[in-house]
Amino acid sequence: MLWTAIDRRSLLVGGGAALAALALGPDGARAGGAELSEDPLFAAARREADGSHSIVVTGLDGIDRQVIPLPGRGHDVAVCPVSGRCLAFARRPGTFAVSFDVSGARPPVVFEAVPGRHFYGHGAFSPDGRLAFATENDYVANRGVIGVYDLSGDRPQRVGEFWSGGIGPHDILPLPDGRSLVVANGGIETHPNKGREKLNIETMQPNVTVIDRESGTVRGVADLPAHLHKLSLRHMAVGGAGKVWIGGQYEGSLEETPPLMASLDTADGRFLLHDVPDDLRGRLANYVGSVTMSRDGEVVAASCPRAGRILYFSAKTGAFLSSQQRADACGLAALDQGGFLISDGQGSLSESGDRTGAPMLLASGAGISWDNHMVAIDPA
Amino acid sequence: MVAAAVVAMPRQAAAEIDYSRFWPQTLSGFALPASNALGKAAPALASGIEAACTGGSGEPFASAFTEAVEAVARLSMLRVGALADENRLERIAFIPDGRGVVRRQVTRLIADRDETALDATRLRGKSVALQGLTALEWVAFDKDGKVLLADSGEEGAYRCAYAAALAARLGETAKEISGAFAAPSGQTALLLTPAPENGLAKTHKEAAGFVFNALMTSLELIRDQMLAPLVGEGAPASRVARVPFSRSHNGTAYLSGAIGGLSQAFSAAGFAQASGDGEWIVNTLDFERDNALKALAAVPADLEAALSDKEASGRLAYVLTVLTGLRTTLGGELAAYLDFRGGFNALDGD
Repeated sequence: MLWTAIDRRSLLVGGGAALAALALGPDGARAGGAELSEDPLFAAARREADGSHSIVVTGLDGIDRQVIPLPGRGHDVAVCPVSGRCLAFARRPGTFAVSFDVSGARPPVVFEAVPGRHFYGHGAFSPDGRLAFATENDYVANRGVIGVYDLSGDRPQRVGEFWSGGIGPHDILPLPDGRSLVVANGGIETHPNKGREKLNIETMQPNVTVIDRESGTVRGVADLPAHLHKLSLRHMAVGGAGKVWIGGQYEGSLEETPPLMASLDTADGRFLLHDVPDDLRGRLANYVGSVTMSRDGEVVAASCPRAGRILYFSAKTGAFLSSQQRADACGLAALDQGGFLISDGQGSLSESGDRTGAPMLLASGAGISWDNHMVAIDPA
Repeated sequence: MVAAAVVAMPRQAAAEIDYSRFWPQTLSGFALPASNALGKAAPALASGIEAACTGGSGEPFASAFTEAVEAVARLSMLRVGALADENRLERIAFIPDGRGVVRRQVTRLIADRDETALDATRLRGKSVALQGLTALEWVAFDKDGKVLLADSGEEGAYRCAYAAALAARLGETAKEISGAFAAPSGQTALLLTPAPENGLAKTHKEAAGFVFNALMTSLELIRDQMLAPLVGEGAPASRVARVPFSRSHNGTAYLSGAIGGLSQAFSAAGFAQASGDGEWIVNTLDFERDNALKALAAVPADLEAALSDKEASGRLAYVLTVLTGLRTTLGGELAAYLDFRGGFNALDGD
């Protein structure tokens, strides 16, 4: 372990020495700087009007480009930075994943988690697109693992795994050094025999772990302070300089109002907590459902579906910028340079616009529900 | 979805509510009459198109179009059941259309003189943006709200033929919707038969909450996406463009139909009547609906002109205030009385 976390309730408050730095490479986040195509496409899990589940590729007009039926509820979609190939994972504790092409040129391939493991809903690609990494549960040993998949053949082959650095690994993203992965270990113990029941709320210890994807060794762990041990760290976005933004879900009392956003500077290990203004504190239902960085790297958006609100923070200073109301909104995808596409459980897609007032509705499908996450598919 | 739980709800009251009644009552009291009404609006459109395209006045068509806008607005507020299957909601009107899909597709279709769009049956297989009342507006009205239909020249003939196909298609889609509501299948049936294996609703309470949330989405769509920008800042033309059918000077007709439809749907469902604590909401809903419709009736049909009139702008701002109040009453207090606690992601995220 090269560094550990320090706690700050708000950014840039207090001293706290920066601990030993991680050696990270040059900038180059997964979505940073990419130009918007004329017809941008997005992918997300969706519940259909007939109650079935699917992964859908859609445009800003809300018209489906591709619908891939799933055997159960899906969660997030990882997009290969090289080929545009996508991997969609089952929502925990599901055991299926789907590999598909945005173009629909090849039929989707469904594959299963290996015995003794289930998926947590998120995955990431290696920079060359040959390998994929999935957050998984080793529920017998009660530890989080990262499953490693070789995508070079017709079907993804699981070729290994390594420790996630904690329990309940949820989101996983590549860091811009091309070698490290960052994992948000939510800290919550579950077992498929007990469905989605949380088994260790009193003793949970969430963290954010940086792992060398080639050796599987843990390069750093950021822990929360003891009094925030119930803040499950779940969803992330990575900025160009390797700064990681993390959204939390608090498992303690709703009367407590901890900060729900954190950031980790992987260059120096600084781990900060970011609060919202007083008039919003206590009105967010202690729950962040999705976190996304704008294309220009200036703004971080976090959705709070239980409160029907989207929060915006400055990626540079960590300061709260503004918020918008949108009922049941959870999915957030980078849209134009500073904007976001917002999806919600009532089937709507809207645009953040000036990030105040109401988002502008772009499409509103009847009887469908967009699931937690939505991702922009950049042209390969 | 619903900003519930702002009112302390007696648990006992929720336990006594019969959640199985709401969707069947919505079907018989709203979905069927509203889809039948849309079906009845189509023949007048067809005869109006024929009159305008054979040298007659465009007035009968314009009048029939306004009736059809109100009928579409009313029905589309429901957003669930037969409307959710096979993109039927989009087939009757492609709303919202923030990216101008209808304009682009219709313009291209007319330029290409695509003969396959001139048959109502074949039209169903085309893009949903090319087959609804929103497409008919682009075909039949100019930017000043004047009826364009006239059998003059090749383009005029094509517009007339396409308009006729659109009117026929709208009638067929309305029939399809009525039929699917009358003989439940798809989502209509799923909401009638909650069960553990039902992917939409395991209980009647979940099914009722699904319908309630859809109606609240419609209310928010009108309030946040149409009226709030309309009375806000910015160029009048872009503000007016947020209101569907404002190009044909039917923006207020759309808003009136939508508010009327919402009120009818809530009433037919019997949500407010189900809880003794919530009965006062029945009168509030009727009272506020009447106020909003009365205010809208006094706003000129040309919304862009209306925005330059202080009195008319004030009336639109008043309608916004009414809808804001209704959102609080329905999404807050009524939702709490009924113990409806939120939407798909809010209830069960990850």
